[in-house]
Amino acid sequence: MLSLNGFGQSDSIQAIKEVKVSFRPANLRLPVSKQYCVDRIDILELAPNDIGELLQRFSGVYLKSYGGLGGMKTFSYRSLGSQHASIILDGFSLENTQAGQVNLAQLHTDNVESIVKTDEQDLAGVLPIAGQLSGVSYAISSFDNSFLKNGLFIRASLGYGSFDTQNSYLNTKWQHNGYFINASGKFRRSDGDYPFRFENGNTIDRQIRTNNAYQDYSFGNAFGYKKKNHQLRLNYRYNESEQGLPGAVIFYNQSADEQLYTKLFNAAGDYSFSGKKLSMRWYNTYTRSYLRYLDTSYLNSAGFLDSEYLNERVNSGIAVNYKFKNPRFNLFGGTELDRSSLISSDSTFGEPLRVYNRQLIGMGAKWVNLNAKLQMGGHYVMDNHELSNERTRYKLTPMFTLGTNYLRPRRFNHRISYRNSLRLPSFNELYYNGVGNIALKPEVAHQSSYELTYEPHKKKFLNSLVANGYFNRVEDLILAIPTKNLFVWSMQNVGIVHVFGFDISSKYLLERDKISYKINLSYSFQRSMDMTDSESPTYRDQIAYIPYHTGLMEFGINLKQSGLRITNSFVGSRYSLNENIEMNRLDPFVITDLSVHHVFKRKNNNLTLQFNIKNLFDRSYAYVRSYIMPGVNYLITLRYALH
Amino acid sequence: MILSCKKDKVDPTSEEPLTLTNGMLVLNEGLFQQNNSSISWASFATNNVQNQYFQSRTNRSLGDTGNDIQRYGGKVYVVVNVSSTVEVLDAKTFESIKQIEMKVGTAPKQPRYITFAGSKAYVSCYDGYVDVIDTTSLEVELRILVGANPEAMTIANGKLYVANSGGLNFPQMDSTVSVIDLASNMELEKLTVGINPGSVIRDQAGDVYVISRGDYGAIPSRLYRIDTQQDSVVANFNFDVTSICSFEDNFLIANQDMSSGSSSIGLFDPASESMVNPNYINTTSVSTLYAIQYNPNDQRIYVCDALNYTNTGYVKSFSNTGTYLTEYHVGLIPTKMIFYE
Repeated sequence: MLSLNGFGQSDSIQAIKEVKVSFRPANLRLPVSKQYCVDRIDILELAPNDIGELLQRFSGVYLKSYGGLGGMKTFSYRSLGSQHASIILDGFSLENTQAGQVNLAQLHTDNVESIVKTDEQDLAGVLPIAGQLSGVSYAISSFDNSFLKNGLFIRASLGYGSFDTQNSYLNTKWQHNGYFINASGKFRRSDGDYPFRFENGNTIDRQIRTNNAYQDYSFGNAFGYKKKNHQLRLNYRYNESEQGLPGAVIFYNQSADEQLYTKLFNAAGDYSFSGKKLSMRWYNTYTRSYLRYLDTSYLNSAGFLDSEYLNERVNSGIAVNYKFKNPRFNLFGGTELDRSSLISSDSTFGEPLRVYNRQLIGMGAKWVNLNAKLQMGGHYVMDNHELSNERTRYKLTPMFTLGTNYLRPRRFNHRISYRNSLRLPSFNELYYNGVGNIALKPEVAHQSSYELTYEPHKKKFLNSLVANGYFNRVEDLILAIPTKNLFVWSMQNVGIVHVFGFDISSKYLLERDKISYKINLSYSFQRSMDMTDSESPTYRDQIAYIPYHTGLMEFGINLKQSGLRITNSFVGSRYSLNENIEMNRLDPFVITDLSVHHVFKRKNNNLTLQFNIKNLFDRSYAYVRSYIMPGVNYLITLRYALH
Repeated sequence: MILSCKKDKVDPTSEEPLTLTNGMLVLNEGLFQQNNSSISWASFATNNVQNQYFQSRTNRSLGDTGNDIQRYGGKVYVVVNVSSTVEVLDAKTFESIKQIEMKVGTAPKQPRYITFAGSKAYVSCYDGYVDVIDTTSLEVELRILVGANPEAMTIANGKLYVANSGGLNFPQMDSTVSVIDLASNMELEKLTVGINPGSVIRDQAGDVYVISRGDYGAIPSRLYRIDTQQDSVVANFNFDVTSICSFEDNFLIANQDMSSGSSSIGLFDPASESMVNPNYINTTSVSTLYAIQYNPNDQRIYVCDALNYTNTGYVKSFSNTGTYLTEYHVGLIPTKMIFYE
């Protein structure tokens, strides 16, 4: 395993040596395979609109994107819904109790240093308990909340692109004698009226996406103090957005009048201690999420639909790791408390409240070149609502891993693991306007996997290779099905899904004189079967929106201060409904993106000019049926970094 | 890659007929925002089904959420709700004659049902109007203001009876039936029935029956009878009902209880206003009883089975005494049929 660390780098595109997670206390080692990491170079060169576009680079992840800039994005991991996953930003878990899943389109990437998949990494004592107990975790580390070396740091960028997309970003940080203060802001807007074409029978129709304008701004501050083994961080961020919802492309009817307004305030703070034996982290978060949905052409008597929702969440937890005198053993654990509430203008919704307490205890052991980890999670959930009685549940979720830890020259490592995770029903699924079902149980996932990693000497062309085989079983799958008539669907625990698959990814790096060549290859196969009812027409059919095949093929070349990267993403055919018939099949696609850049350097100042072409060959494609994505589009970015 | 995908299941299909005889057209609603509404042709001679029949005859998709299909004169009219169109086709060759855009400016009217009288077609639209379309020019000539979110209609005694559901005002839905004088195209009055009226049907004596669908919760669905001479609600019946159709001089009363999954088809005599047999047809072979129709040509009863609404459904046929005969595998959420001799 390599230890990677990307902080302290100036914001130019150059070889990266290490990456770490921002909430890691100083003397905790974090082994991170390069396969489980999207680093700063990737982020800069790809110029993604949001975190969602980066997450799809991880094997086994399938993005569900409803459009371009600002369009809703969620994902599945090895056929598990994103509700089984944790998104951890700077050590604080992001959750949305109302919808159940985080809209990845709301997470910017300008300040992101790295994203690390942490499901099987040793992050006890630092990762929030929510992250340690979820099916998979993606830890995002930002520039804002990281300790750097002493001095002044500036990052700024200006961008202009297709569909009149404009964005500007400024981030400054000053660090001195263990203190840092940080201030940042971002503004972006887009008309979003992209042309698209789609098939209607035997004809190809060409139209312009309308009501797709997007605008948002955000700002925040962060403060940190570090001395010896102690670390304290405080930060807040405010984000406000306004966007049109173009909706699905409906044949013969292109009208769309829906608008969405959001205001998101997030404040967080943590204290970490890392001694030789004991390391711990205490973390706290407050999130206030306001959402307004407006449809000015709704055909009710009022002539419009205007709904407002206010979702508040308070979260506090402590994670501890203790290393015994005998260095072979460590004990870890912690607890976390969440309180979520929702107030809405919709009288049928009521005012739901959830108190969620997670507990964790586990131990790790090392013997010769073997690592083992065993943990047990506890989940106490109390749901309350004025229209129903208080309900409580308690569930246990075990997990273990066993793996080898050979260092060079023994270059193969193996690991087997089993993980049990829960996905709680969201407020929408429990209470929403006739759809909700208060009797819903948590959805349960069992994941078992085998992993092989191979990391030859770094001077070899093949830099790293990871292969996984896995089997998942999902029980009590939460699905929307009609329970009264076609217009009144309701949420039910009805499904059983079996998933088996494998993925393989490899990275190649070759450096000759001043030229470096980089190749990334990954492929994933997923067979995700509906096992709910052997009498059903969809028994053993592939689950909707899970492609059998996905892949990534990427080539990069860097010469002195210039670089070029070509990325090809492949998504195989999949179905929009569970019935595997031609009518439900969605076409496979390959999307090619191109990025070129040049860095002008002067002492500690870097100025980067970058040009991105996305969907280079102007393919017509959709992740979600009837939501056609943009064709070829461009983005030019000027970026400045001090230090 | 060596691994191959599982093969798609093949729909039963046959060669496409050029002239429609001895069979039925089946309208399949499809799912909201999926553009997968379709029409199937089922041959009674061979029992074969040609799915995607509209697309194969017109080279384009029917659109999103087909809600009603009717034959009138030499034409077939298909009301497509979310696409906001009325498709007009030749009843014999099924070639497209016209696609009528149902919009006010760019705003969709969201048409729901169609019925006919003389040279006019009447289309209920969710924006609170009934559009009058001339069946020769196929142009919208007039818009008649009715109640909120009108659904099905029927004509009796020179008047149009329109069920105003108010479904988009949930949970405060409408409970009225608009009575329109066809001579003046004016609304005469609104009659009050139960909450959320949907289906409307006329009996041989000229009375109108309305299904009020309730609130899908505490308030159950109920059937109401309107005396069209007096235009007054004269009776309501104490049984659950989700769909209704004429069956010779009687009605078939279908009910699907989605909570329990059970269904029933009863025989109702409008003359005596009584349920003659609450279990006239054994529905154990039907998963989700979505619609029912009687074909007087072959004297068979056809039942639409929508399964779980996300799998392609079946039309199942029964003899007029309720004996199961055969089934046709059609498209997603079959909702209505037109029968051909």
